[in-house]
Amino acid sequence: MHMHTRRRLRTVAVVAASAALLVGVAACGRGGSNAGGGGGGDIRIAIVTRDFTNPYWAALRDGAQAEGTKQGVTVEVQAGESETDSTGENAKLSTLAGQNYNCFGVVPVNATNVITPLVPVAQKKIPILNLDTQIDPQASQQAGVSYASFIGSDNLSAGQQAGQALLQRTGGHGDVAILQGIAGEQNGINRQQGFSQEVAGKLNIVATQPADYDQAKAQTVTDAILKAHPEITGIFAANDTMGLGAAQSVRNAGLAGKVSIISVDGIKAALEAVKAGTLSGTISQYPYAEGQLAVQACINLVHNQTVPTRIVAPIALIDSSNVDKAQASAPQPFVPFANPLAPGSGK
Amino acid sequence: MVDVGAPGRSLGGHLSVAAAARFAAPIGLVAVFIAFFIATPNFLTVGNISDLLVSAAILLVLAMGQQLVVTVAGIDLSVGSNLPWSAAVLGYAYTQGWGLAVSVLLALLAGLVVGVVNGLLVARLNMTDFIVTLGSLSVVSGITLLLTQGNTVAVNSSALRGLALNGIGPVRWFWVVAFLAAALVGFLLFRTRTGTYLLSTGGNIDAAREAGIHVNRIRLIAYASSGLACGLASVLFVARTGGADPSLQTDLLLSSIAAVVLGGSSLFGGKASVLGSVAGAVLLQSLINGFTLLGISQYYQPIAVGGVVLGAAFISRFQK
Repeated sequence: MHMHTRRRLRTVAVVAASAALLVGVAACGRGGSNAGGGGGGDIRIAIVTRDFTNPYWAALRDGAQAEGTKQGVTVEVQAGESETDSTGENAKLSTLAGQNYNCFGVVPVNATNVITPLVPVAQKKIPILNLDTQIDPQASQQAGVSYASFIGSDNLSAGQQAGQALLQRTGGHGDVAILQGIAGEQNGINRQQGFSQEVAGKLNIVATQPADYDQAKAQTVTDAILKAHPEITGIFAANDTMGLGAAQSVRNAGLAGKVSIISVDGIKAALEAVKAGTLSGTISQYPYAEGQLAVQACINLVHNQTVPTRIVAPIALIDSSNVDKAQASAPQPFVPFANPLAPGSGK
Repeated sequence: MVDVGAPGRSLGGHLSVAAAARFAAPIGLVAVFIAFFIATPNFLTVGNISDLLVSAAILLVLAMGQQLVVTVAGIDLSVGSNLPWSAAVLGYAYTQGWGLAVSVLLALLAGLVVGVVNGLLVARLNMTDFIVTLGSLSVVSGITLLLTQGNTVAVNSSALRGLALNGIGPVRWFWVVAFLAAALVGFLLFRTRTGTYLLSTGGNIDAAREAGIHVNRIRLIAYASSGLACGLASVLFVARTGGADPSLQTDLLLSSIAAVVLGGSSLFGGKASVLGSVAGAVLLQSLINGFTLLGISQYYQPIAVGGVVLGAAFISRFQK
């Protein structure tokens, strides 16, 4: 009993001493900590995305960092651990929100997960850009968060272009399957909508399954679809990683060449697959360009210049006819696109 | 098994090693804090530490639930889907217009129910806990997907937002909730008879049974508490992310186990350290926070976290 109490007292003393030390040091700080890095005109941009294991977000990061280096501004890019890591992304975002950044670019995991950590940012009147996937505008408004601009590609159009491409390859008739992304994720929904609209009445969609933007999962799901519907002639995958998984499955089933696969994103592995003929085509997005646009927009916003509320990033169908050109100019788009932020573009 | 200090005392020099092992997590936490303090002036500021503790709150609550289960020599793998399940119930109830209080209550109940089912399967039907909770991990995940149709349910509540963002001065509600949970678990384990029974059951289940302890009921209590902790964590989760995401939270599951192990609790049961688990959870979050501030590549972070866990496991070998 005696020893017990003594040990407990010792533990309490240790905890109390540590807490006191912590508070003391935190209060005193380390001399000039939050006074701001390098003077008044310094532009410091923070971009937070879902993860870096998806090459799409890695390209966004690379584009943003390249533009940052070119323009001479600090760009910090952080991300969560996976496509569904909402709390991990939030932790990164709220850590950065407490630091000295004067512009934020955010790609959400789902429609609402980043809103709460952004509230303190909005309260400090720091401009926020919504990148790539739309954040729920109503929920944002109720929380008091608004976005200076939305920078992303037109996913409805991407789906439509994929539909057109598949129609062309299947001859305008037959059975097809759709691999959806993460359920409820807006971009995937838009792509599917565009695709379905385009092929309505012509192609018969026999299977629609989510594969969470994951390559391994897509392969498993496609295996099942091919067994249940061996007569399909086309697959639309909402992103490249799933398209590659589907391609593997098709190859394993010995159906290479009989099933056309179109996906969306335009990552390097997909371009290589198009070159090799295992993937029929991909609607390439240019996350690298999106990253560049985000940094350019931030610079304008910090200088109090106006920025359009919607900046459309380019997309293009890459198939065997233009894959060489696409690979040569990657990660930049090889189609010229109107950049509303470019100096001298009149905006 | 409560008298860990006794053998150490008689072995003079070994006392310090055993003590260091017992306090490995808090010492590690202080070491990490000092390391980051030296590396960047932005780490040890009131704002950042406050934010760090907010980010660690969900993990802390889950680790407390896991702590109780590990104490009885069990493990709760269903945490990865129990959290989104309770969140989904909260989201469903809220969007049906049943009010926040009812929704929160239902979320706690939902988590508790899963915990009770786990406890019944493990204790009464004598199934292995690893397999039971692995099975319920999948089943509950499926049920969650059915309830939400795979979609994230947005929960637009200013009260929950207030919970996530506000507090009293620099003391945020999130950590108040998390520390209360820790205090409750600590009180339960070390100040109540049930706690002693939990420790005894984990230490030696046969001896406990012979001593007249209802080991089945005790194990049921442990798993039910873990489920309840998931329910509580789900409220924090919904407040933080503004919605109920049905995706499996494997990172939080693994981190909750890591935090408990880091804290010095034995996976074989019978030895528990609430202070250690709290320090473990905060330590894991500090690593991520510090690396973010330093801008260290994402790819080093899992290596660092794993290294810390391995280090803690190594040090805990000196505890006996």
